[in-house]
Amino acid sequence: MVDFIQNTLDGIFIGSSYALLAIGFTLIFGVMRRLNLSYGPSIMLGVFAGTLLYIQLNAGLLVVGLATVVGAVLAGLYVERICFWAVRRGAALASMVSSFAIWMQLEEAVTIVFPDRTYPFPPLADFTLKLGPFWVRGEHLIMFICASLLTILLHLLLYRTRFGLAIRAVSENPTAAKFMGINTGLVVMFAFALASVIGGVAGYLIASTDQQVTPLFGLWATFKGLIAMTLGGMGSIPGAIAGGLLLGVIEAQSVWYLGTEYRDLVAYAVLFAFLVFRPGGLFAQKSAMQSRLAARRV
Amino acid sequence: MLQIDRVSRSFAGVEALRNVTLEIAEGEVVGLIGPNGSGKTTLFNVISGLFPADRGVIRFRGYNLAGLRPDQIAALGIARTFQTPRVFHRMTVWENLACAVFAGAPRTSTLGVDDRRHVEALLEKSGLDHRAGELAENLTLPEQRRLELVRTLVADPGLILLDEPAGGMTPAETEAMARLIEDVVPDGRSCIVIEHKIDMIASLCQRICVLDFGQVIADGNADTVLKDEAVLEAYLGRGKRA
Amino acid sequence: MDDHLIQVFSNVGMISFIALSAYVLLLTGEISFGQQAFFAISAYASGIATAMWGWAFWPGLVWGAAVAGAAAFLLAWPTLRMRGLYFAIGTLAFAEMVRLIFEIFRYQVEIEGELVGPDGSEGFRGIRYIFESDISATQYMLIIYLLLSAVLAFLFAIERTRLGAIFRMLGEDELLAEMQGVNRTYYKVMATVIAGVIAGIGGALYAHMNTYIEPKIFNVMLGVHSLAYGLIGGLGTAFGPLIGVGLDIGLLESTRIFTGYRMVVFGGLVALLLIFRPRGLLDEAAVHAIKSLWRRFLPAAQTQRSNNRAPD
Repeated sequence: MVDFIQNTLDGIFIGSSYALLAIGFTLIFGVMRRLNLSYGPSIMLGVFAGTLLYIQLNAGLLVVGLATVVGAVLAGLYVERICFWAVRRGAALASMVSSFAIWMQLEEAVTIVFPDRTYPFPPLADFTLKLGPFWVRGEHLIMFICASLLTILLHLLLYRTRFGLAIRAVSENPTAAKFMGINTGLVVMFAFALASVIGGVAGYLIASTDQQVTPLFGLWATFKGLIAMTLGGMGSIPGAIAGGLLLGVIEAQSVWYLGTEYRDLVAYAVLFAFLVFRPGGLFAQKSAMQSRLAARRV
Repeated sequence: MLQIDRVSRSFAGVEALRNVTLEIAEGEVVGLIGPNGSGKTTLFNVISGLFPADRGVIRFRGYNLAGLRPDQIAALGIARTFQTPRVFHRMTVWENLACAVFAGAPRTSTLGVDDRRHVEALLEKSGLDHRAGELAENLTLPEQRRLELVRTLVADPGLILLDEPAGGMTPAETEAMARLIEDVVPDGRSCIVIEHKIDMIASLCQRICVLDFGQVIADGNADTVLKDEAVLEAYLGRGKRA
Repeated sequence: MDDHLIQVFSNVGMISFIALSAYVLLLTGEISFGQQAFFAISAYASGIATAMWGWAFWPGLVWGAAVAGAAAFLLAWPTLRMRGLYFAIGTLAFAEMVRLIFEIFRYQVEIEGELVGPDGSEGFRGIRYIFESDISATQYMLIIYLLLSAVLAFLFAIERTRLGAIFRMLGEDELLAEMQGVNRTYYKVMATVIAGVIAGIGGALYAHMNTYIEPKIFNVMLGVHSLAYGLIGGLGTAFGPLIGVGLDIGLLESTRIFTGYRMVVFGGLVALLLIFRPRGLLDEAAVHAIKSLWRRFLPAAQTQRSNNRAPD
């Protein structure tokens, strides 16, 4: 029982970073109804911008973090302009494949500048807490706190500001939003930037926990975010959080009880089962509209 | 040939159809009118198997349609058009009709001479023969509606459901559409036409059925129905109280 | 032909199978991120047959493709209810499960004092049938292209007949197709199985050419690339995916023009292309235009007939 709870705790801490990735994915999906495969790679670019400053100038934590977020936002906007803004309406498949092409491009651009397999990334914290019988790693705690704060900020932004209202309006019904005088193009761009900020923070937290970065981070982040988003229900932010935490817990438990080689297998099996038996995800009812849109032809 | 017996259907608590009972005889052309949201298209959707009825029975030529998939219902001989025309945009006009042949004939692997003649004859009737090689996405709205209409005829159905065949058309185009329907339908086929243009309905149909709030409020001879007080009130917003 | 060129052509040929497999599903309107699973299943199944059970190459290939087809048949049912993005993610999950199962799949027998067979993430060595039967690289390349031509001929035959028309109907508007009498379930399952078998043929060829396979080759990147090839080349004809494969692997990877920054160039070009041609180079409209142009050069009598051609 102690093991189980310890795994659940670990899972929730790791899962909080998956939740951030899923939120970013869901924001983009919400306003565009398209899949941005390049989401992970654009975060990867940000993480490498951070690592560059760290290696070259021995920059401090704050500067590295800022560089990561700025890099992710710039890369995210580049993706938005090329793969989403420029591609004709109604051509969702083209957008998706185009974002895949840009992914390949970003990944190779990074490997040209960073030819080695891994690069160091500054650690955030190096302490371990003991709570009764349970251990909590310091960086996990910081990750969880940052993720929670960011989620609260996002909630305030979406529900207490005019821009948040605009994003929600476009997510709900882009045509109606347009007729109400909302500049949908600007809102989409802003949502991409917002998603990239969230992704950048997530990337920073994950990289500093691992204390190293590789160009494969893009692939990893894209698929973790995608799985977590689908588990929770596409287009739903509470769903993204729940999906991220669920994915973290599933991974932690299967590593402990079955072994490392079963971690992803179990995660994909759960994902497949969800798609068959509960395609709307954990929050199926609340995001019924979004689910219908996701099921539309792309 | 078509018996609709006390059919009801509701969506999230709203009853779109309430105990609708309607019988269509062989070769009869019936106009289905009613205000927006009165359940006309819902009735078409239930007949063609898009979703099932909550209660009630629909029989077509003796077959109970309950539980049949849309393709099975189509195979029994019911064809329909849509309120917003639905054609295969990335196919030519000719290909749209060829596809309809294929869809209705499981054992045809390529078009035979007879199939070609049949399709050509339909194209000529619809006046789309000069557009045969055009992609359907380049057709105008009236042309798309004409294509939809002749497409329903490809499989030689017993019953045709036309959902606003003249929707969004000018008076001249409406007139042409009415003549096209007259031209292709009277050879023994039954037909239900949803339309808001009363003149067109009056010229096409001997019989008119009026739906309001999911219920049949009038059904009978065209002249009688169009003078009915309840119909005038429900449909045209005038009558006793006006 | 020098060895390098033969290698390039063989690779182009083999990847074409999986690109065509993704293309068949794209025709019916489904995006699959998971066709590499059938490629992998057949690579393992045919490799086991020839290297461990002592089968000959051709029965091994048929067996591999059949197993892939059977796997596709099983996958078709749970994915029938998934549409759009859900189908894409469902096939992705399936393919990753297949790959991860091969990571832990061990089945080895001793042959001539040597352990042969899949060894989890260590891969599967010694699929040496082609090597031991003295089939040269050139001959093997011809075998690949023979099979590829057969698959292409099959796909073109489909496109000229009822089945192709039905697939395209389902791809454009499932509901409209059903309302005209198309049994959606039947044809969706059929398309999935056809796609599985096509990918399977490629997988068996791949295993026997490389003599060594490992699970990580069959990762999601292979699947997404295959999907992209179809869209780059165009969805109007089965030549589309071949153009995509040819451009990427044949031209860029092999000519080494852009060595080191191939993807920087190619990725950007693909993104640009999709801005102007969202359904690829040879999309339906382009194919239509080419056909109209072609007809204009035919004698008048024939033109009259071919104006009224079936969907082809």
